[in-house]
Amino acid sequence: MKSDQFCERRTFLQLAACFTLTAAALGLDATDTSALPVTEAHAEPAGTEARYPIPASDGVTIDRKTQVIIVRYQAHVYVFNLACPHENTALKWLPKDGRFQCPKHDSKYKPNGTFMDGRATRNMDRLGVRNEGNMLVVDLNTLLQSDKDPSGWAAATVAVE
Amino acid sequence: MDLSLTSVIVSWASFYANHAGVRTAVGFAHVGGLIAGGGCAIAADRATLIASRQDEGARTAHLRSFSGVHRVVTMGLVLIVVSGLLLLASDLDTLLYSKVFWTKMGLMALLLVNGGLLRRAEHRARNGTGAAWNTLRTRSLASLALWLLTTLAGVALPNFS
Repeated sequence: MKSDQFCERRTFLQLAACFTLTAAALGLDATDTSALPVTEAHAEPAGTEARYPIPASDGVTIDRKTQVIIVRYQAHVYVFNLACPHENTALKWLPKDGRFQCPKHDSKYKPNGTFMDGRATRNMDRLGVRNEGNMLVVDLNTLLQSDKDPSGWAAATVAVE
Repeated sequence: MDLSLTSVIVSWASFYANHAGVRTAVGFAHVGGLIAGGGCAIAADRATLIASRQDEGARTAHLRSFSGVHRVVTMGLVLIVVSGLLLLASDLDTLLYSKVFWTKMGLMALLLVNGGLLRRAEHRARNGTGAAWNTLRTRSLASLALWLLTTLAGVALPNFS
């Protein structure tokens, strides 16, 4: 009985240590996470605006502090609210599929924010943007919803070469 | 075939996002492990608190019923950790930056440490150390609180990412 208990406890601790180390390896290896095709950005908002360098190539940049996603796609730059328009869960970018997906109810969106499939009822919300001296200026107060302001939503983009 | 950790994670995120059956199975393993392991642990903690107020015979009978419970709790924890790693890999970018996620991991670590200490106190109680019952009582209260707090953090995770 006693040896059984010790064996069980040892197994328990070994399993716990094994999984903790695996989690640490998965979660804390900076080289691996930075190699993921999503880049992180941090801009200090000045008033209601935030400035970012215009992305040099197609890709997805996320600023979790200001809760925005910057996408350069097919010669256009878009800035989106990080939250899904359905229930405000942070959207994830799937590099292999080239689209966004909400982890909560699986709403899917194209890189330009167009709704594809799922429970959401509109496209990803865009923010107002302009090009100022090769910097992307984002108006953090202007949230454009495709169902309420379709023309404003469509115009919220910066053309790039 | 690229088998680096990054490409495995990217492929898993895509596979997970595109297969509702896989999402259901992984989600069920996580919640099922919580119900089976956490449910048994909470029932055992409650029984320990009741036994701690009873006579020696009731305490001995309670300790005798413990070993079966630990097996179920350990299996539940293994299910929770394995499915948790798969869930983490499916949305690594979001979760690594989530304070709620790291709070949950901290609570999980405390739960594992508390489980080890609870087993040690149980072993001492079996050997007739009277003071061990005070420790068992404290550890059982901590276990109850930690299971519930970890569940709360898990529920909050998709809403505060």
